[in-house]
Amino acid sequence: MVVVTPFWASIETDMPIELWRRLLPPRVTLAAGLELLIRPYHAYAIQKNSLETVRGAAAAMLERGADRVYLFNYMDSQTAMERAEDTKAVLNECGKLSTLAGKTRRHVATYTDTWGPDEASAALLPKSVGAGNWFALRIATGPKVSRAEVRLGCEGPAPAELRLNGVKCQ
Amino acid sequence: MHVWTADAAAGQPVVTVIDARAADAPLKVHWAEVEVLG
Repeated sequence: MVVVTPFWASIETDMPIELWRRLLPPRVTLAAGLELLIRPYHAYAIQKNSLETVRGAAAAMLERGADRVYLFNYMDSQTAMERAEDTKAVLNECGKLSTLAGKTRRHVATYTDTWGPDEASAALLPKSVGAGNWFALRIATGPKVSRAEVRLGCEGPAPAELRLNGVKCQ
Repeated sequence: MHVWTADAAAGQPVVTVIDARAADAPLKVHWAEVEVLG
């Protein structure tokens, strides 16, 4: 088994699982490693995943080709989710797309907390958008989305317009 | 936190376009997420 995982500082919601699948022989089981912590960039306040954010990351990784979900630091003591009952739900729901189906999930833009020699460190956020400009970000959302909400934490005014897959949000 | 809803955001992955072309001041995004409603 190969477990693809960030180092420790945040769950990584955009790991290129499909590339790992292509690189590995079919006999190798491929697991997506999900960290307990979640943040969009390193200087952001440390916080823990919720049931909904784990569902989101698991759905995205399974849909991209992971055979398994590997939970790191989802313990029942010091390094635990905020609500103990959520740990049980994570264990029951987040191993298969079939058990995630129909449940609300959150897909959060996070960052890569480690990188190889000569590889640039990268984080999508924070991102400044000047008046008169725009930017786009891609968030893997697992199986096909039919209805969604977008949440942005911004400094300054709200964006004039926001679109999901070309659909103008209300 | 600002929240927007899209009722027909078909397909995936989701691309979120943040348009500040009509804004009169810069904005800085610190957090971005898509909640898929069950």
